[in-house]
Amino acid sequence: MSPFISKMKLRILSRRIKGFWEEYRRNKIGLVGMAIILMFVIAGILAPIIAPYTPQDSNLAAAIAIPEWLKVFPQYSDLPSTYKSEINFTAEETNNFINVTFKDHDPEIYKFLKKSAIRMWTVTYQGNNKDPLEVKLFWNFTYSYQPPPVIGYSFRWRAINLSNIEYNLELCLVRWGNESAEYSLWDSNMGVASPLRNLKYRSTVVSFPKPPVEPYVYSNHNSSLARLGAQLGLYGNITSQSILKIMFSEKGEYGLVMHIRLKPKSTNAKCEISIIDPEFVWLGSVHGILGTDNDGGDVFSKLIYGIQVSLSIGLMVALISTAIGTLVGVTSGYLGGLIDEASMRIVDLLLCLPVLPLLITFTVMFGRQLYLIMLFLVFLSWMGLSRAIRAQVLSMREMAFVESAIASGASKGYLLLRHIIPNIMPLAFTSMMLFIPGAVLAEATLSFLGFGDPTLMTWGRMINTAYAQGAFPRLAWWWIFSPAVAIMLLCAGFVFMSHALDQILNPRLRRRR
Amino acid sequence: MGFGSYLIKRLIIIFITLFVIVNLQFLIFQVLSPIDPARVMIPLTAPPELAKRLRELFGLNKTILERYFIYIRNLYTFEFGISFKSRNPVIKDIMTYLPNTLYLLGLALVIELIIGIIAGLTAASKRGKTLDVAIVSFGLISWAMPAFILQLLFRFTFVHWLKWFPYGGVPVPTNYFDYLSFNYLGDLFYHTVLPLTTLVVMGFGIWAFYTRNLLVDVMTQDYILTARAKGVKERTIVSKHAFRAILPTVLTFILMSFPGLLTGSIITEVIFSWPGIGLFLIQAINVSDYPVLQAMFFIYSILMLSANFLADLLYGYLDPRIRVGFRR
Repeated sequence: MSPFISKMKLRILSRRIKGFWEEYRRNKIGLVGMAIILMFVIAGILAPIIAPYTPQDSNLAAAIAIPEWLKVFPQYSDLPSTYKSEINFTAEETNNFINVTFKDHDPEIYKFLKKSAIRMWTVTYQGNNKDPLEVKLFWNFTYSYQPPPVIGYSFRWRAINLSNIEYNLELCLVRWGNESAEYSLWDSNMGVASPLRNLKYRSTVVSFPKPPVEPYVYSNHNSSLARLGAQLGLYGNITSQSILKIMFSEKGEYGLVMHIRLKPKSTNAKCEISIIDPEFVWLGSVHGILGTDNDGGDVFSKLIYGIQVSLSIGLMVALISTAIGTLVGVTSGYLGGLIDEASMRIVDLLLCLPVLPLLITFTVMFGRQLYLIMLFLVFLSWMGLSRAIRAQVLSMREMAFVESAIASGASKGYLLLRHIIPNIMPLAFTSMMLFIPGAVLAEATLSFLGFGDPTLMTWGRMINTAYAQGAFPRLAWWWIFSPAVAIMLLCAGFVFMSHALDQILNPRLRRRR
Repeated sequence: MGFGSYLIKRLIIIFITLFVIVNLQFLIFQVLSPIDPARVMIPLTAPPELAKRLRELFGLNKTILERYFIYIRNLYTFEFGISFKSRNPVIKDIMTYLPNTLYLLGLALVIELIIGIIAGLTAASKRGKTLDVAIVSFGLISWAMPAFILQLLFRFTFVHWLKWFPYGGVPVPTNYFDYLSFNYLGDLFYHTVLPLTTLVVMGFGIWAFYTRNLLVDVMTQDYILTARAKGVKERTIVSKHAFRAILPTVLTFILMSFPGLLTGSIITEVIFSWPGIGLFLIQAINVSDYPVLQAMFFIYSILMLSANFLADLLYGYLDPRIRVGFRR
């Protein structure tokens, strides 16, 4: 191209762009549209920076958690946010024969976990009498909110060097407040009916189904596993609202206690019990800027990443449809005759088909991958433009400047490149601006009805999930309406811009203002 | 070219188009489609003999060519076959759902038109003023905004939050006298309010926009200038002189919106559980109920083609400037 663009032409081009901008600047609706679209484009490009999580992240907070900023209202002010912490035990040593040590690395554990930094509390016992004894590992935290929707814990433990001894581990939650109480979360004799021991703090005994505890069962039963003995990773959670309400009945100090109970069977008993990497978490009822969805995923992040999908669908479909529409329109308008007749009949025919039902039918029959959906959209959207372009080309052929160009011996190619194409560009460009929201909307509608690409988190699919997973009865407005408003804003932005361009580039309409 | 030969040419083109559409449908539904309807009708665990029996029953075991001829003959005699899902004649199923859609969308269209045209006239007679800008912006927004956003908002607010209106559906009359009873009509209206309001709010803006733009275009004509020079009031100019000039175009637009009544407003019907033709269509697509789909697409195409044709005729009749064939 470069030899054809002289300095002079460049100057003319820049002056034209400047003039265009001067005129565009005065169009308020157009400026608003442009601002909206710029905002979306920037947010879409910077999505990995802006969005605090990825669309795949889940359980960031409880399901359908409300937006965090709602805490300014008094009725939400003491709702908990998600809190995750390592448990750092301190030991209460009760017996001379017991020794509690803390280690931050262990070669054996490293072999097994492939993790150099660990936190490991080891209780070693070597005694010479047969009295049962108990060690408590404590960790305290403050909880000053309404009861959490979910709490969870995780740790690994192992018991080695056992001889002539019975042991039992129990993880309990202790409330230190006015009505102190202790609730059992996990017991190493799980499954065996463990008797309730006379615990000092237990004033209320809540019976509830055992929390789901799934031991990590490692598939590679190699020698290191065998050496580590009864090592298990454990995690469990409690989601029952009624139990949590009882457990966290008041605001104040709470603690986690690991009871390690030993019962030597002879005088030369010994054992070594370790607790590795304990963690504690409660999921929040409030989360982030726009709350969470039914998986506890971050709505805001999904929304931001959705921009990428929506904009790329819109741009791709619009570009291809405009290209096809312009090509068909120019060809049939310029060449005329049989080609014109045939292509316009095809256009008529395709315009007779109901778009949305056909789109759904195609996705059901041929698949709902994104590229297929874009293909169907292109197939169903180029016709209107080609008709308009053809009309424009036809009317242009009659115009004086074209006729004089022909009279002065312009070749067909020259005519096409110099006169026809530049004059249909405004029309093509304006309608491309309308194709983008059209495609975005069509995809959103399709996804909303449940016929979208199931692997992508698009705005339409967000609304669909919200609709299907009970956002309505739970009045989760942040979940339904954030994608809806995003779709609306994006579409409005493009339509406003197209309207402004139409007024500037289409001089015939200027009189209307 | 006389009017008669123009008419004949148009009709021939319509029939050719329809024929091609019918063939396209056959291609899509019965040749290209990778889905076996017999397997959709029965559970996957059912014995293969059952699928075979079903195929025989619905004539799906015949060769493609045989099926093609049967299909063509049936369509042109409006015999659409039996629905795979409900096992009723397709036309009967369509007739149970269609009235609900026609009632809702027809009512919405009428109200939209009245409000839209009045708003358009107002905007045109006050062009450049705040009201005009407001109406144009609203038209653009309502056109750009997908209807389902407002519908979700309405459902959220009035059904789930405030609990003013029912979730959806249409009350079924027990007998024909119900259509006259105050109770039934009240109940029907109660169920209609939400979907109708959303349709009207989302729909009238674009009519106002069309009317206003057409009017403003006409207002640059010389005869309007003459009227102004005579001292006719601006309101009268807009509503009498200019409106008459755009009436043919508006009528054409109205006519062109009729085929949309058949496919219904799918989204509206889904959101408000309105048992209309759109919901029926979605269900049919979901279970690959080809007879229903073929019938619906065929009727839609016929409606679309005839609406096009009628619009052209009407336009020619109402606007003498472009009347084909009458001049010579």
